[in-house]
Amino acid sequence: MNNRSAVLILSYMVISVLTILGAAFFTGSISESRTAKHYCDSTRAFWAAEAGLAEAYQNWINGNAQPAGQVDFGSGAYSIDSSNMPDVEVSGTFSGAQRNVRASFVRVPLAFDNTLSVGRNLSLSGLLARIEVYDKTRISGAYSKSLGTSDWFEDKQVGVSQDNTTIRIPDYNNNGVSDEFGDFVQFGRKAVQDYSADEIVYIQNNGTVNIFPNQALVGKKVIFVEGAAPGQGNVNIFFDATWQDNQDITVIATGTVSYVQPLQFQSNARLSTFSWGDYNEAAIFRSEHESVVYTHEDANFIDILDWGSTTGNIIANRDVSLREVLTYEKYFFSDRARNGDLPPGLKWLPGAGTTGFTHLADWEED
Amino acid sequence: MKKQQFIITVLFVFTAVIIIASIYQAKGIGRVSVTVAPQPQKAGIVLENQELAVSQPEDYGMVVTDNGDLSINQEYWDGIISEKVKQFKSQLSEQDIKKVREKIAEDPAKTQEKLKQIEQEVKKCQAVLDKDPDNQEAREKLQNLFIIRSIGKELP
Repeated sequence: MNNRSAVLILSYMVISVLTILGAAFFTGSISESRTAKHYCDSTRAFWAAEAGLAEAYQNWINGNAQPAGQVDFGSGAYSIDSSNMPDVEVSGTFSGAQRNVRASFVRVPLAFDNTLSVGRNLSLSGLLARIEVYDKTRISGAYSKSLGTSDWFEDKQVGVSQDNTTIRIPDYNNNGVSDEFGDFVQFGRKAVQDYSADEIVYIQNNGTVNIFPNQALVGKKVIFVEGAAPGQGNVNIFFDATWQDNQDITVIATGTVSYVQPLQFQSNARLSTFSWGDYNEAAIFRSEHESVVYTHEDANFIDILDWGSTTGNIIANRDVSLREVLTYEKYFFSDRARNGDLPPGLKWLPGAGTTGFTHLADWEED
Repeated sequence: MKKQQFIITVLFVFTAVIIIASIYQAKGIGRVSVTVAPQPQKAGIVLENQELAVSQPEDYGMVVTDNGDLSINQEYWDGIISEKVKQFKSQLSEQDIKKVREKIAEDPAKTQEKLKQIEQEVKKCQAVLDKDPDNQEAREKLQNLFIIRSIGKELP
């Protein structure tokens, strides 16, 4: 092999390496370009979906129908699926890329603007008892109190519209009539379907279910006790202290809910109750708790043994009676629900209607 | 001359293999999917026709009774509550138990007075049931009072 041959081979090797590098850079460049385009298209599709969600929310607030099919938006498009209200899903597309976003459109009833909402009459009876209610008390009927009791209301109005004091159950069983027992059952089922299996307890029982402390209840979001008919599926709750710090749990019952608080001390936990039947509360020692209470019937506070306070919202579609003996009870307002921080399952309660505080909740990308 | 041809052939084969391999690798890079945004967990969405699994109350330490069943007496609840309170205490930390004791100790006289009121309420209910044994409201109230009384006995 002479020098010329060696140079030829060396040159060939250099050319080969440069060719390889060139090919690699070329293909890499094409790949990067494709990735950038995909990213760009995907981002545009996302913002098209967001634009669709914004339009859907505005349509819902204003009572307008949602557009059917695809709606052109710039060079892309979006489509709105509102068939499963209050959950709405919007799909955005741009040049072959697709992104989906979904959210819940929630209309928090006006009753959640009050500390105490009474659909009919409020009565205070008892002996050596005093109650103090902070923020708004709204009563659709009248207020009465017996001798031996004293009261203080920061802002009390009687004779107000039931739109401000009650919540009616939407026609969830689709029989053309709302606010029936069957609608409430469907509401409860929707509430538990909203969560994963390990976050719910769904019980079918026509008797009374007594709930005591149990480690298995830690982390639960909704407990639904379903009876076959009104007056069945009662719940007694004892020892609110079972639940851990910051737990937010809702108990739904087709019967009555009786909440006995022997010693409530997890003041940063929230227990909400929703019942088709009466709500009865008997606090037997000092108790301070945050609670959202809704009953389709009467709420009875039998605070014969209490000197604590309740923070939250109490909503009774019918009467509220405060039977206090040797009691000094305070009721404070919580604006959490009003501002959209709803207890688990509550988004299914307001449903239809045109009044209330509108919120977009549970946003997520699919 | 044959030696030169052999070397050149080897170099050709080597180069061809490198080129094919690099192109193949570059195509592979192009196939890598790009995640443009974090994918959140699905939550809070109702699935149509989703079957609900019915839970057993006993699995969660719940006790089921018939509404206002008079055959369930104080002794029954004493046994149940004693067991429940034992479980409850075992789940509490020392700090939690201290909190409970502090609550009760805030006003022991009031606590005793209120325990007496439970007795008065039980008597009232029993008087109602003596006259009207079918009074459902009194039956249910009596059951709750039995439970409250059992809890009072078990307080630390």
